[in-house]
Amino acid sequence: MTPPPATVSVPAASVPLDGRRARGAFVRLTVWSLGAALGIAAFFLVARDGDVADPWLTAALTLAVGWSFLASGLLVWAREDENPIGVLMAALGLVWLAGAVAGEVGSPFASWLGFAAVNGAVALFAHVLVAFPTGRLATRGERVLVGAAYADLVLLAPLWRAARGDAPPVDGTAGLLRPEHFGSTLGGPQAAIALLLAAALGLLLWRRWYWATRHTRHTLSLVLLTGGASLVLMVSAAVVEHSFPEAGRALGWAALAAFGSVPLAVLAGILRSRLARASVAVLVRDLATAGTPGALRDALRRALGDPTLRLAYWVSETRRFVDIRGRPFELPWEGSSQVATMVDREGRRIAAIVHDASLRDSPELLEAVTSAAGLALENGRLHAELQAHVDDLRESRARIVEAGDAERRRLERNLHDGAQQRLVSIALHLRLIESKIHTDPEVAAQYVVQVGEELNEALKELRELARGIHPAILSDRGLGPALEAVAARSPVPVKLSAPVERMPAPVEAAIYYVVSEALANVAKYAQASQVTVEVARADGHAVVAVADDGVGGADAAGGSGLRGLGDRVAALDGRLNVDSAPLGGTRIHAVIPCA
Amino acid sequence: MPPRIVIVDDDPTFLTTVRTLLEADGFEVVGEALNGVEGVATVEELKPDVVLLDVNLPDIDGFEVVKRLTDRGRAPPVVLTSIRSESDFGDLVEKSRAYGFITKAEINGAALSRILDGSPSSR
Repeated sequence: MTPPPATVSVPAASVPLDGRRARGAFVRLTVWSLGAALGIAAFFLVARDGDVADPWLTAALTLAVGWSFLASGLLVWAREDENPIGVLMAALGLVWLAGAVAGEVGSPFASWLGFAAVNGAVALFAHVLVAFPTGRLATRGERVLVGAAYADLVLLAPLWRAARGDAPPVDGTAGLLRPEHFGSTLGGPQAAIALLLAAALGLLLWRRWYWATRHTRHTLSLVLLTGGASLVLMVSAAVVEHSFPEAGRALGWAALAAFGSVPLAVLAGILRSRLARASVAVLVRDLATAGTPGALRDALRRALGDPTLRLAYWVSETRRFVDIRGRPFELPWEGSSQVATMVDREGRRIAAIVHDASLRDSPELLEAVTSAAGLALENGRLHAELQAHVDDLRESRARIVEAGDAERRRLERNLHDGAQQRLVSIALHLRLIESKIHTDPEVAAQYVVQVGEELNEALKELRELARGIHPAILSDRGLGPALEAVAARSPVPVKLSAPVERMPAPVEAAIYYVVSEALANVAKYAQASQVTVEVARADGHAVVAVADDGVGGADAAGGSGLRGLGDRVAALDGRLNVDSAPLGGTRIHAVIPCA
Repeated sequence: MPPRIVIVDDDPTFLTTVRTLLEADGFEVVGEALNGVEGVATVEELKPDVVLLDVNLPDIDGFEVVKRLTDRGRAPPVVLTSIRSESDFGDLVEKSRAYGFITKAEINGAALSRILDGSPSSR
């Protein structure tokens, strides 16, 4: 069994055509009239046949089987215009009754025709079983099996009988019609093929039932049970008939009764899926009161009868799916028991409904449900997107606070280890000078020199510290000179172009820190020979690009420095991208709104 | 007889400056240590009259050094010191069994003597 694709698309709604409907109704009326006439004819012809052991019972069963298929087929046909299974069943009923009539007419040609027709009905029966519930043969294996059944029963069986010189009796004992003649089609290679096909059919149906999900099993069970029972009974009757005619006859009648109940099971299955469709109306009602994302999901679960259903919303900004609470969501893998149905609105992706794979058997239901829930899903998507944004904001806010704390710790540490240490040393040396200045003026003079050096060092450290807190040149003289100062300190040569005009202070500060951090990273990691810094204004935005020719491999999410820059830029509604393929250099690109 | 002192601090430059200063003020610096564990060993070996002990040390901090020294019976008076002020350590100094506290910038022989002459609670 090949794994099903993980996603299916919902076909566009087909517009029902009134003309087509009216024509369909006329065709059905004709078929019904024909079937009624054939049924009555078959009943009386069989009932009056003296060669039949139990003429009235046989006639009644023949009629019941024919009309059961015909009526159920026409009902399904009327309700499920697009499902061929109704047509198949109606055809089976007609062919069956026609075969019965032909077998009783009394001419050799009609007898052959009757034999072929009843065999054709059995082939149609196999077709119905394989195609249920969609009415379509989904795989090549299914098509081969059904095709072989038609060929074997309609063509090979009469040919084999003719070759043996075993013509069907002219006085009406055609084919499978009567329980005591099930065996007449057995014997020879054609029968072997029939048995093989029956076995293959049984295997196929068992496999389908075994792999079906709970939802589909409900629909399949009754049909497979009655269908399987009639198959087993027919074969048993044929096998037993030679040695135990009485038992064979009883089994044959039971087979016919089971056979006649199959269309009712099919009808029940189809009606069941129609009932599911009625739940769309309930869904629409539920949607009006579904205030929370969870309520929408639960309404969809009820409407589609799938308690495992999940919703995923598409966030176009990040190009990923999130769940109803805005957390990242992975669609099911191919071959898993769930598939995702994509929901698009006005050409835009909104959501994916992740549901049991069996629901693909009801594309109309899926489509009805997704269209009914479209607006609610759009709202749900907005909610999830907002939630994802809120989560991002919460995380970045926490990171900004954390970065601020870390910066304060760094400042305290720098003051403690740097300037304060120097000043303590100066204080102690002044004390030494005080004690030596009279007794040992030469030593005292050395200490004075030392104090002067310490003071210079302390001042230098304080200047660097102050620049780290906020670069005075940035507020005093603007971004251009501030960036030139940063570029001048960079060990890697910098090609700088920056605008002369001033921008709002927060924007200038953000750009300054983006460039400083980027250049610091280039110096530390990039092994670059050249770095280009470009700052420009375009369309109400400030655009910053820092590109080097180094080794690349920088990670925007990994490094706390780049991440902090991203947060700083995002706080101004801007975006920061890091493009850093291994060996391809690193390009940091930031866009910040700046009216 | 000049008071014998052991100085414990992880900064060699600071050690040199303080040694020069205290010797000029009449102390005899009998030993120095660059970390807490070494400091405990030096004090127990040399049994000085006073210990000048930096709070921030690379291995165990000054409070832990005081605890280890006093836990093992009779210990010399310990004066804690730091670039930070005493209040930066909350009540840790008071709770410790140190004799007193002096900020690094204020260290000199006279100040140290005043702390040693006063009661244990005087700072």
